[in-house]
Amino acid sequence: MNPGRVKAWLTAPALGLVVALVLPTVVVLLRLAFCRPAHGTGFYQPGSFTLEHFQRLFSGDGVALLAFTLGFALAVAAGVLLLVCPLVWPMRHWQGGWLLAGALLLLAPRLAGPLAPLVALKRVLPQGVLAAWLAEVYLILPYAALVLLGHLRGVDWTVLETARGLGARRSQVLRRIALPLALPGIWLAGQLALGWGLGAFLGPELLAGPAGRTLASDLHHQAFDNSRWPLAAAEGTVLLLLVGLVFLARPPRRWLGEAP
Amino acid sequence: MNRPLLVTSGAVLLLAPCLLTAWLAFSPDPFFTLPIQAWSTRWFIALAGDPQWRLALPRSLCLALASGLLAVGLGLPAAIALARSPSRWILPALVLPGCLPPVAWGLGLMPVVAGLEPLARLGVLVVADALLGLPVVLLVLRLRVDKTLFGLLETARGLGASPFQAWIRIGLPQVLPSLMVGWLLAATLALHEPVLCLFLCPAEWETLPALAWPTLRSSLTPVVAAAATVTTCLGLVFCGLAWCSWHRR
Repeated sequence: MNPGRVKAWLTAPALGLVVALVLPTVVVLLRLAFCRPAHGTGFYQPGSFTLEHFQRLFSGDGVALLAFTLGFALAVAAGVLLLVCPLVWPMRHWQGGWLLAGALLLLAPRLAGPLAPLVALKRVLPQGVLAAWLAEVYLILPYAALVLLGHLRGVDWTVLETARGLGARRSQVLRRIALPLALPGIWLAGQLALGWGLGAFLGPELLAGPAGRTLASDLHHQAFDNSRWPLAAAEGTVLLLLVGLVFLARPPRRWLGEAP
Repeated sequence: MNRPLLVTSGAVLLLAPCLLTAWLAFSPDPFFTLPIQAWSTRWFIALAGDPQWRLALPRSLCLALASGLLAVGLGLPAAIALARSPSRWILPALVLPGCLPPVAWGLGLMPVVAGLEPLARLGVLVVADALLGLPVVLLVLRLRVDKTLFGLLETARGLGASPFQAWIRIGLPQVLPSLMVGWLLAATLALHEPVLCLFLCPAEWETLPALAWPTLRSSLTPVVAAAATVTTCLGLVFCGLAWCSWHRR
């Protein structure tokens, strides 16, 4: 059989399910976002059309919500990178049991689940943005760490010794060789942290209180507490758009070591 | 910095919240007063005595194991296809669900599943959880599904085995550890996924995270700390089993 056809058959079940579950999400969010809210039962008024939810989202309180979400996501991404870089950097040379122990430790927050850290942070810290930020950094850190570790282990670090042997100072080696070599991995880890930071829900919803509401937690609030499903859908649409933009962004070519 | 010091400081940083929750769960004080003076299993007994919590645990486990199984079932053929001829768009398409904010995904799916029977809703939840675990399964399977495996299969075919025989007697034993690890890790992720449960879980089939949610949102009770400790331990047991599967000769 044609190899291309074999590949299509083998990937069809997984791709089919991805399409079957992701496409309706986008279609339903878009459809709901332009409808008026239902009075009584149902999610929306059938046959209605309005732009009021997007207008609301891009004016006054909506803009403040968007700005807070963006700022929170940037802070989460920065926190994740600040923690991940020093944790992962020494592991680039590790082998065997040490590497496995390190990787398992990095994955521990994800494998242990979000419930336990959320309970601990809710108990120990006062309600506020700081607690929510800590929770999100903790929950996103394992993925960013694995991405960065994967990149760093693929780089030939003997060039650092060579540069030192040729007389470069430690700071020069770090700035002019190590950092450019690590940048693509740092970019990917940051992109991942920013994308998931934008969709941050558990931390802000459980630990931040009303003052620290992000787009994702407001979406849940509008849908379940206020039954304003179309407004929640508009927020969901904007959230998907923002996350999509983050994941589609590419670093400048010179960061990847390519000619401009 | 030397390795033992880094691993120890990393362990303290990364495991401290989970250990603190376990500590709180073993405290007899319902108001979580620190420092803890005595130890008690009363919240675990309360957890086991409450029919809602008692039912939620096996439900969560069933859901997680089914999601893991589906993730492996979808992941193995996809991993074979990707190992034979890498593609620029198939892998990003397969990891796409993991990039979506779960809240937006759950909200978009909710009107779709609202009219479905509880069992069908549960099916959608299993599929969604499986798709979230798929990247992990693909990552683990990549370690065993490679050119060496295809070489062995070709050799078996050359020695007269049918394609089916070659896969069953040569291929499957080679990839079995990866399949087990992938299954258990995907199950662990599904066990801990709270957001999709909130949107898709039928009321008749409340899982542990869905049941813990109202308490987490309002006032924290020690029973939730006990439940969180139990799910953490379950996740760690799954990981231990994955470790044993990988190292089993």
